[in-house]
Amino acid sequence: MQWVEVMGQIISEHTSFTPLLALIDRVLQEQDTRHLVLIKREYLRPITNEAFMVAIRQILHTADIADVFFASERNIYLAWQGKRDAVFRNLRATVSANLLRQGLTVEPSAVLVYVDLATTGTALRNSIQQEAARIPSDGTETDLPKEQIAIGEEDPDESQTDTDPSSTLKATQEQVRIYKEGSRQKPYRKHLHMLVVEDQLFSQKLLCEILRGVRINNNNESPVIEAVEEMQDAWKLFLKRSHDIVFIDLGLLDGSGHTLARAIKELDPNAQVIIVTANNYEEEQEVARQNNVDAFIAKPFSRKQIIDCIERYISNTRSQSKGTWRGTLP
Amino acid sequence: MEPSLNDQPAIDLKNLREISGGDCALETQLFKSFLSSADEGLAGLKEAQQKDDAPLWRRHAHAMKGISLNLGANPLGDLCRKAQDNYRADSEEKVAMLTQIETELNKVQTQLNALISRAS
Repeated sequence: MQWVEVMGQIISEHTSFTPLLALIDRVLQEQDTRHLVLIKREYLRPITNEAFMVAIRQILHTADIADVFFASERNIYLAWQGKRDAVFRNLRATVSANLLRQGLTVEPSAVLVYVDLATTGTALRNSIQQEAARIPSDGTETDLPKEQIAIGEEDPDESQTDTDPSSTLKATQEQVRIYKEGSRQKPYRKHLHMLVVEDQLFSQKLLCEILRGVRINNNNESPVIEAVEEMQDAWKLFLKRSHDIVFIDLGLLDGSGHTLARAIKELDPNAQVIIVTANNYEEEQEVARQNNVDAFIAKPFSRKQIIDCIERYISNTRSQSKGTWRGTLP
Repeated sequence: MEPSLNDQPAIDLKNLREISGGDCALETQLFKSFLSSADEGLAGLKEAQQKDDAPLWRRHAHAMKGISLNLGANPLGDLCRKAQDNYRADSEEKVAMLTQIETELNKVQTQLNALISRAS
């Protein structure tokens, strides 16, 4: 998987385990950033896949990409790209209100569970593989595993982020080591890795659409683009992936983009950080300058402004790495 | 004297079309995304006004300003900029700002919905 399709807004249904396992693999290999929830079938009223899709389609339509997996006898899995908390909350509300068995009194958190694939994807993958092996070709389950899988259940509703930036954007030695290792690979990577940190989905989509058209190799390789809405998520992702370029909005839900820009630049002065903001005020530009960000782009941004930044980065990196990259930009 | 907002079209899609490359399906997605975000923003502004929560008002005004300018809804973006800058205004002034924003947003919504209908 080379590219996370951000603009697709496609809702796909799957009735085999294969695409679910493939999705988990991609997340484990850090090639995909989709969110995943499981809905425990034991709590649901009898419902066809079609009726289920009708019930949740409206919610998943607000995500960028969504996949619904019906293969498991125990759980329905839903994966999506886009707003994590909003989609999760809406899913939970809809499932609780419309899809539970009659007379059932159960906490919503028991029915619909957010799965942190980054930390528990391997355990989930093993469990699904076991289940797949137990289900014969006629689709009837013969022997459900008794043990509960060790899914790291993270409830976005309850994982409140610390809003004090000074106490949050820190990195462990191990995270720094991983970042530096990734950073050394930057000039030799096949794909340009870019991160968009923007809490407004419309602006996020617009920027991603521009980035999607960027090509850096003669073999027409698409870039890898990841988009998040919050500063904390961006920081964690940046430490893991060592993105080539990070585009940061200033007014984020859980803090200022300046804080993130400063943390990134303190970690790696060579990291490419571009502020993209509607706060085009002198004082904001001054803070950005003090943080040594590489560019400050005011909204509305144009394709040319964004592409120019990427071109500059590629040009600089190419000269530093003896022409490893061959940029062809639109 | 500042030009009247009425002198400007509600939306100038030139920049957005340059980004979309004239892809109607993509534009429809973007328009829908804008409409959804703008609804959230307007609801947020109303909530902030009712609660007299200045930081919340500023945050929603800022968010609406950003998406409006990116869409090319410049009069709406200007109104939201004014709302953001005047986030400490009293409740009465905020009601007036909200009315202006809502009126301008209605124009934008009408135009976008027409474009969405035409595309489908």
